[in-house]
Amino acid sequence: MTIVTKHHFNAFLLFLLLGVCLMFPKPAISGDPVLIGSPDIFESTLTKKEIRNIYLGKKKKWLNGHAIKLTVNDTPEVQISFTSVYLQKTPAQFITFWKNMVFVGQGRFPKFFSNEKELIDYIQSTDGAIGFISTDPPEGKDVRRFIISD
Amino acid sequence: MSKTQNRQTMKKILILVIILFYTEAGFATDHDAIDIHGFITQGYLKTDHNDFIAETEDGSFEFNEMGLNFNKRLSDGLDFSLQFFAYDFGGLGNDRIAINHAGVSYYVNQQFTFRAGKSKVSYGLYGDSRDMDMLRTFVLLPQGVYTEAFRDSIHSAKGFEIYGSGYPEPLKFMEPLGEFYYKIQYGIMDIPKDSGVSHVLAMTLHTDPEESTSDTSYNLVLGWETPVPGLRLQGQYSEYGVFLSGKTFDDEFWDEIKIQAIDQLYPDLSQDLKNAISSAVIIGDMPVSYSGDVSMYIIGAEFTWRGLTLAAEQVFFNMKYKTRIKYKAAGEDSVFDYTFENPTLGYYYMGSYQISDWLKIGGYYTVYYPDKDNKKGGGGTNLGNPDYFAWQKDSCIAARFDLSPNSIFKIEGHYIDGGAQLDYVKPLDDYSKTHRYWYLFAAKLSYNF
Repeated sequence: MTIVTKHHFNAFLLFLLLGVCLMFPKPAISGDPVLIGSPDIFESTLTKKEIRNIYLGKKKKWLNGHAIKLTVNDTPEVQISFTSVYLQKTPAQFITFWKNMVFVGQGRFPKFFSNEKELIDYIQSTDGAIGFISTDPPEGKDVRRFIISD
Repeated sequence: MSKTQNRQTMKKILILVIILFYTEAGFATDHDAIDIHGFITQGYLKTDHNDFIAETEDGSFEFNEMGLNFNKRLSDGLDFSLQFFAYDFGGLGNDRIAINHAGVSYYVNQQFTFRAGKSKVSYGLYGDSRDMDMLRTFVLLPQGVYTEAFRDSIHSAKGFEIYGSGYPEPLKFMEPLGEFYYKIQYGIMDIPKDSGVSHVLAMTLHTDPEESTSDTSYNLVLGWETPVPGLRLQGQYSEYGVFLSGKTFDDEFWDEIKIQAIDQLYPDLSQDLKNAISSAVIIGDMPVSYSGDVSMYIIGAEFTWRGLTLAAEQVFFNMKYKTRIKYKAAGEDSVFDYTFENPTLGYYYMGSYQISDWLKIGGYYTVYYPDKDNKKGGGGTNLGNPDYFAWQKDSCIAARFDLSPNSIFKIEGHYIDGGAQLDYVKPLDDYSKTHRYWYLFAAKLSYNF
């Protein structure tokens, strides 16, 4: 009887702890980021599900047969917004997910950019690249702005 | 620990600390180059009673891992990966460098990827990533399902695998049901005599192992990402063949087998004669061999919502062996064959929460029964051992601190009832010196790039 009580007590403590943690406030999420891709990509519209499948390494090729090259905007607010809206993950969970993919031999780590201008330049010049930015790309940049559908 | 071991441990810690504080390497990649990633960990384990795999009663640093990963895109859809891995956990691993996985995968579409070479074996929700400490909240995964002693053999296999997810075009109408994923693996796992799996089998069968080989194995995983956001369910079935030979222990377990054997071989003799034969036969040190399959089912569920993760899994192993004992009767070589079956059960409930960017906490409760039909001890494979070797119930709470994007420190405490896994790696000289209730403290520092 004593043993059962101890284990139940431990389980109770665990769930109490989780309950308390759920009350912590989360960072505010800004507007939806803009998805852009390299000019060679045929697709002009992506569904939210396709974006999720692309960023979780399930969909790895575009319609033209080119490999999808993932980039990640490392600006915290944009990253939080993107991972929350499209992947239902926190940035930490997203990075952990990709570390898992790399170390079990099922994927390559996305390329991270802390500077949005460099990210746009990279996407413009790299076949199959996709990324997300905070606002519309500047005029004169030859990148595809994806239309997002449900 | 010897002085040499102490020096080696201090060296590892020193290297880890230097890396942690003097490098700023991060996860960066160039899509056309060879990507190189890696990790190194150093842990510490301490128990108040009982040695858990390493000599933990005195505190042990024999608890570390290191891995180096290379991957390259060879062409659109064709990828190569190679990972070296070494670990030490008491008598397991001993820092021997092994190929964790090495292979080429070809992506056809979302529903079909083919990979050949040495691959990580899927095992439950978290088994394929257990070598990578940075991927989880806990230092030790729940031992009821992720038994540490099995790790060295079942973490990778040579052969091929196919995997995928989603629906082909004609079945797209099913998308509202959520997304299904699958993996089929076929190949051979390395189960040498000094491996954890071989040792566990030998301890379960009360045998001193001399030789161990494995047969082809297959592994089927089917998962469902349900329409409820963050909820996934997974089921798995696998089967692998093992051959083990060795010498019998001289103990109560084999005494019981001897009585059954005499009953089977001489059913018409009187009980007095059977007793006379029984007392004349010495059971210890008899050559014995086992040939058969281990089959395994795992079912699991995981729910993630924001920083919260809840998970539960249950594993059921069944060992079914044709057992052959060689003995001499009236100067003639004879054999006795029988079928040995041992079902094993384990499960856990787990929860964790990301409180902030740098702090995550969690806890779990896990249970393991080495003989599912003998949960209270006193019979079956537990014959001759204290009753509390028939179970192991572990309550754990843990905290993970992300010191930087690449370095992590974890601490956790366990309260354990039972000792089912205490003899799995390190043979026990005297079971009566073990304790039923014990505490385990674990800490681990890790770095990845």
